[in-house]
Amino acid sequence: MVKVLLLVVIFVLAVFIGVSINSYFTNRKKFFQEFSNFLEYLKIQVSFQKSKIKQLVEEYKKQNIDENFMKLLDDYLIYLTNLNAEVPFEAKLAILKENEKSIISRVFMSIGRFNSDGEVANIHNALKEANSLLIDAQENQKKYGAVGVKLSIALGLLLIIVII
Amino acid sequence: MLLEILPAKLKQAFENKVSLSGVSEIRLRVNKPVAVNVKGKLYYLAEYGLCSKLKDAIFVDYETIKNILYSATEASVYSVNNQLKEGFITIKGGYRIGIVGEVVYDDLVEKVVTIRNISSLNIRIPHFIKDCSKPAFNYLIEDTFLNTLIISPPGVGKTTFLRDLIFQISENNFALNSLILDERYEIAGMSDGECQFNIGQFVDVMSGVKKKYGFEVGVRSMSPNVIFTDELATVDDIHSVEYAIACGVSVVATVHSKNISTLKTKPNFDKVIKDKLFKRYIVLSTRNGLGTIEGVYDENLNLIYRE
Repeated sequence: MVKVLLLVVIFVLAVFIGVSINSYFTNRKKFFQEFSNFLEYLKIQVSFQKSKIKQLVEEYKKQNIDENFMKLLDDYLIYLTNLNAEVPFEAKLAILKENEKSIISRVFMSIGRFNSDGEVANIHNALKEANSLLIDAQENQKKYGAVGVKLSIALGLLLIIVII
Repeated sequence: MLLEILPAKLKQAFENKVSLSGVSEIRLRVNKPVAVNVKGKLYYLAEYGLCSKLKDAIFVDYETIKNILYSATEASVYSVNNQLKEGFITIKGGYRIGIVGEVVYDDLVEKVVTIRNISSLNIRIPHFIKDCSKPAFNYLIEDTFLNTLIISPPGVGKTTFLRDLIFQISENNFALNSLILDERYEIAGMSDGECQFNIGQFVDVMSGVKKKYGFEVGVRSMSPNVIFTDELATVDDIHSVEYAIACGVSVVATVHSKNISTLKTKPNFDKVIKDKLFKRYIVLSTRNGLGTIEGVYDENLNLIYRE
């Protein structure tokens, strides 16, 4: 009986690891998709509406958006209420790599520093970077996300066979 | 709001050592010392307060000026592009920031596209000085408000005077519907639909409005008894005033000039005086401090009051 219970625990654990790996890559894909969507939204709004960035961010947050990106926008709004803060805006999310954090911080810190034509060009360039990050994230999700689940299930089964 | 847009060093100097109540302008120029205009006199800003020694002065660089603009626009420089083209922005509290740098033209349409490589900022601090216009007020009222032109060089207190004049209407219980055409957001300092100064109870404000549009639409839509506006400059501005007066609306406006003699030398204003478009002229000077009423003149340019 104990042996059966142990086998079930091992299998569940293996599946959990696989799902976590998949979830990590899926979350990254969702995040960069949202980042790209946000910049597209900004590009249109800055071209036509010319509202302040804070209003635009608050408006964007009303949509059903990725929760990690929501956290990032929350931090950005805090920065926008105190632009002379000792520590400027930083991307702190655990799902991001260090180089990605610095790209995102740089993009957000650069928004709003140009006249309308310059700002559209700035966002356009940022969008290129965001889309490049999105493509990488999509490929990685395809490559490692689904494989991670399959491998962990296989590993779980293998362990069960070995133990039996 | 003003101190919030300044970098820490300048903010601390102002917070700890300088009272903004006497300050009318803060001038920031790339790689130059910060200059502060206090009651018509210029000082440098040092960490310990105002000074006249260049060696103690705080200098600002290009990055600082860019960051001040970024903060002043609430991280949204693009949102003030139309104001940038005019060479100024106005921030919450009615602070007007004059901006100069490299002016970019579109030669095809002969219009300014923007200002880039900004090299200087002039932060003007508005004041509400209650009753500063009171000595002149009684000379401006007959059956209604008389068409009045307020004359002074820049920075002498025309807008402050105009602001108090508007306030005096309700203070003196004149139920005159007043319309402010506030092209540069300076008179009422509107922010999020809220007026930043106490300018009385009978006042409507059109902010950021071009005079031609403001006079035409304002007269039709708001049926004012009197229109207040700042800085007449072009022949179009004068035509707009003529239009409003012809509609039976009184106009109180300001213009940059030292006195009536110099005003006559400005294009189109000689005719304005000859045609007696305005029934009163108020000349302001710095003789006894900013906003001294140098003279109130009637339409024939006879002096009727002097401070």
